[in-house]
Amino acid sequence: MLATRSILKTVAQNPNARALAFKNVAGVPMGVRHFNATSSTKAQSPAAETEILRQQRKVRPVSPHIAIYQPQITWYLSALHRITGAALGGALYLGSIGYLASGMAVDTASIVSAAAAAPVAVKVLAKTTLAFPFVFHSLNGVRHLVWDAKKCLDIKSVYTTAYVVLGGSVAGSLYLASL
Amino acid sequence: MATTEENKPEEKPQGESYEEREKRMKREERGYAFGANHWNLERASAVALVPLISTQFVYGAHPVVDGLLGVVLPYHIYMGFDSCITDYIPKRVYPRGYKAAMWALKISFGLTLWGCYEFNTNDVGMTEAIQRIWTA
Repeated sequence: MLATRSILKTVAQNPNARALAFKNVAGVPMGVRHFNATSSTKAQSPAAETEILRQQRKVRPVSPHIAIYQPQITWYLSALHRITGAALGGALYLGSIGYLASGMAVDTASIVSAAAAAPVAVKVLAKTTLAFPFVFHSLNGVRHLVWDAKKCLDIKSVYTTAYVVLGGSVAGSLYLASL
Repeated sequence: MATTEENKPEEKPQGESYEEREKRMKREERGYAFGANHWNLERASAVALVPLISTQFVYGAHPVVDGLLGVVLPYHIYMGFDSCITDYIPKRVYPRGYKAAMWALKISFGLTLWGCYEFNTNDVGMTEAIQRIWTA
């Protein structure tokens, strides 16, 4: 019998149902997930056993991975590279499709005047926020191409180039924000 | 018996067995030449972007650079999203989700190519537009 959630809920709300539903759980406390190996008299077809396995997998917890892995500049920068790339790429795709969808009615001049009217602090903040992903992704992209050329692959060079990229990104975005 | 939640085969009510599914996926696999070309094109588009973007920063806008950017940049982004979809919506686990995501990506790619072309033709061009908005 499958220990699906509906059956477990019924059993939790009605303890008498437990003895009826689960004939072999005499000494096991409620709340312990209980999957017996089926004996030969109760063995089921392969399809039904797959079904049990499928049900188990649906409720099985996933062991923590991202949350417990030691923070390292290697995978942090790799994640940041992907996130900045997806954000910038998504922005370009959505912007182009929006331009098409608006019937090519968006005029550059209108955006320019709207941008010029904003307060200076907002403008500098917006420019820094937009510049950093772009500069970081470009510099880290060059770092990837260097790896593809089979250079700087030992761990020391990986860390050195990582710091160069981070420093260059900060400097580059500050420079761009000042324009 | 490695079936997962999403992968309920539609052909027979019994469903195909594990071995049959593995054989079908092996038949539908793409060859090694495809993989090599995929890698080459990905790096080629990334390398091509380096001079395109740096000439913009140094010399300013130019219609030819804008036109090239309007092709190479969407293609580079397409390759990037392709990798993301392959990683997070794997075909083996979500066959229909993968197919839907890839089709959405391909259609977006086509529309973006068209949109960039229209913007470069009707309006001032991508580089000039960004320059104007940035220094406003």
